[in-house]
Amino acid sequence: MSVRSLPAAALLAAIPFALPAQSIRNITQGSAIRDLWKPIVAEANRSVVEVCVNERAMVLGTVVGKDLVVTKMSELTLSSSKDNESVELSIDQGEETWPCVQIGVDRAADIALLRVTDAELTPVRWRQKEEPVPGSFLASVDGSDAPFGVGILAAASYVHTVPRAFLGIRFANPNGGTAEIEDTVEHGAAEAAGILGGDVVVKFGEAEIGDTDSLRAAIRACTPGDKVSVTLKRGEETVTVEVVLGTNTSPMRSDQESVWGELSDVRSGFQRVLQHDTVLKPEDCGGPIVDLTGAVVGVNVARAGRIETLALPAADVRALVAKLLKGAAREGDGER
Amino acid sequence: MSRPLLATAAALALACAAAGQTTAPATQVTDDRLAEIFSGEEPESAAELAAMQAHVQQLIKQVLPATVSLPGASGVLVQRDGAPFLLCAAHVTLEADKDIKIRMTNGRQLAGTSLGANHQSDVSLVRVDVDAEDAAKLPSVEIGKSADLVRGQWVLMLGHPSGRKKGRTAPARLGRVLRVPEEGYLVTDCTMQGGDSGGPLFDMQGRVVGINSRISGNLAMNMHAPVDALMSEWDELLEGKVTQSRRRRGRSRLGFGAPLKYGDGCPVFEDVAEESAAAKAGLKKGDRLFEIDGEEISSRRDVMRALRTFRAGDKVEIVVERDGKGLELEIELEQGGGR
Repeated sequence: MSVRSLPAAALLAAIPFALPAQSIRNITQGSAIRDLWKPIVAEANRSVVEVCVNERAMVLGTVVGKDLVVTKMSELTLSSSKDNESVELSIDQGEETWPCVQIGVDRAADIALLRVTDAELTPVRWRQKEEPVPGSFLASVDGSDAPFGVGILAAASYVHTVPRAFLGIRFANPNGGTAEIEDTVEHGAAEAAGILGGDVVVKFGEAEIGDTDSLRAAIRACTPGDKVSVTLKRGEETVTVEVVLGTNTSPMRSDQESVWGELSDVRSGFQRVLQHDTVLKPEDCGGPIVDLTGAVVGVNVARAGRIETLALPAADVRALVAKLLKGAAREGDGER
Repeated sequence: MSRPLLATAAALALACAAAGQTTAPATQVTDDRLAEIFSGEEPESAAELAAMQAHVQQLIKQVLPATVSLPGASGVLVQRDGAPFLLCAAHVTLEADKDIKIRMTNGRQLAGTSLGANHQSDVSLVRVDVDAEDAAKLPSVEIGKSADLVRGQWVLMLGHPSGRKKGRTAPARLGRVLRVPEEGYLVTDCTMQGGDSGGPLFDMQGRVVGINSRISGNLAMNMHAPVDALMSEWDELLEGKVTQSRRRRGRSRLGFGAPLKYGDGCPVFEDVAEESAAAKAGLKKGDRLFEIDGEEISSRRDVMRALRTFRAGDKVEIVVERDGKGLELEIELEQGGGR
């Protein structure tokens, strides 16, 4: 059970000796099982990297070409990125570090494609057979000898419903009239951005907003996770704020959070997903999941619930990479 | 703390359903070595993992048709005396004589009527309202004995976390028994979440041994009602008997049976009477309470939150500091005990 919240280091050291044998902890994911996976995941471990923003490791990445890595886009956002500071991307594997650039993103899949400078990486070996069936054993790897998580495929791949973007406000004039905000939803996107009740939206991204309907249409055109610049009339003042749009499910109730643990900020809208029963942390996403033959069946993309862990299937990741590469080629060498 | 597993808030409809095959006879684990592993011995090779996998894949196929969804919850179909029933959790059906909408894995909807419920053990029974000819065609699973469960044995759990989702069959979770019913309640590390309530826990032969009930802040704390609690009361449940939970009287007064003193930081056990539950758990006067069930504690409010959905008689893990060292203890909660 959790000992990490204990304040004193001395205490941390003391706890393991005091743990009684009957302690409630997961044994299905225990070391005996994970040790058996070591030789199986060795190959995939050569194709997993840590993706760093300004030298800080943020999330895992999966090598999909000699100089190409996919990762979970939304985890690359620095919490302090408001002030437009320059963002340096790099990847770490073992002791080595390479700089990289983002050459494409797919917002719905929440995937970024990175091109790594001067690297000869080892791409994953994708599973060629049909997708695994429920009950298939799966391991999530991060480059350590043993997988950090093991589990089973919980359900065959299914299409995840596409979510709408939410600003997290209540309209003062829901049936038409000026786009005045009555108040903001607790823990919603607008609240986080500092929007206040009484503000009137006059511009949303590039769109001029004249009334409630035009604001609704502008929000509808966005995807959760989009960063939008919103201009507001606040009394006599004009204020501009940056909003990261959420989903209607994203404001997590605090009592739920306390029994679920931390979830991914972006955890829906992925199209087709594989759901498995491995408990991950949000920063554990972006890496490969491996079947018992050592082949990679997908890329972890979200911790969507206490036990809803989602991965993009291998075939979909490959199609996505091909699409993003084509797009990058069209834009010349489109760095962001 | 622990909480019931209904899908929260805008309770999503959840259903499970069955694909049209009838009986699901227990799948024998014929291989001796596999039987040893499933009863708790550690597997020793990748080949053994593969054998386990093949069995689990087959088992899910077998039990999926009879695993169903109700709005915001789950359940499982069984046959008894030639009639179809749904086993469920009391906190899902709540009372007798309610219309219950059941959805099978194949999408078919069934009408049901709630019968009895026992809110102490969190089990309930639903009658499936179909004609006799139809009844014989409904998928079902066998009922096992929760008294036979042993710590460490492997189990499979199905349910609909967050409620039924279009296109998604009831997600399966594989795990092991961490506590057997005689220890107070049945706990596994099959991780559950809201919406799994009422769903089935199976042994490796595919027999129902538990009904999904509650979780806590500890991800390994997944509590199931033992199926024996339901079967031992079958006749009463059939007649619609509803047994209320005793905890109604004063859940907020659940405690450790030893007074706590609050101040800055962790509360301190002021006095631990001999022979009290606290003393039996190994607590001593002056111990500082750090954590309850994985939740950090610094105020009376924290204690109330952490104990919110536990019940008298539940055992909970706490971490205390004594002489600069951390100790993890297990203590049985008491009604009206000091806190």
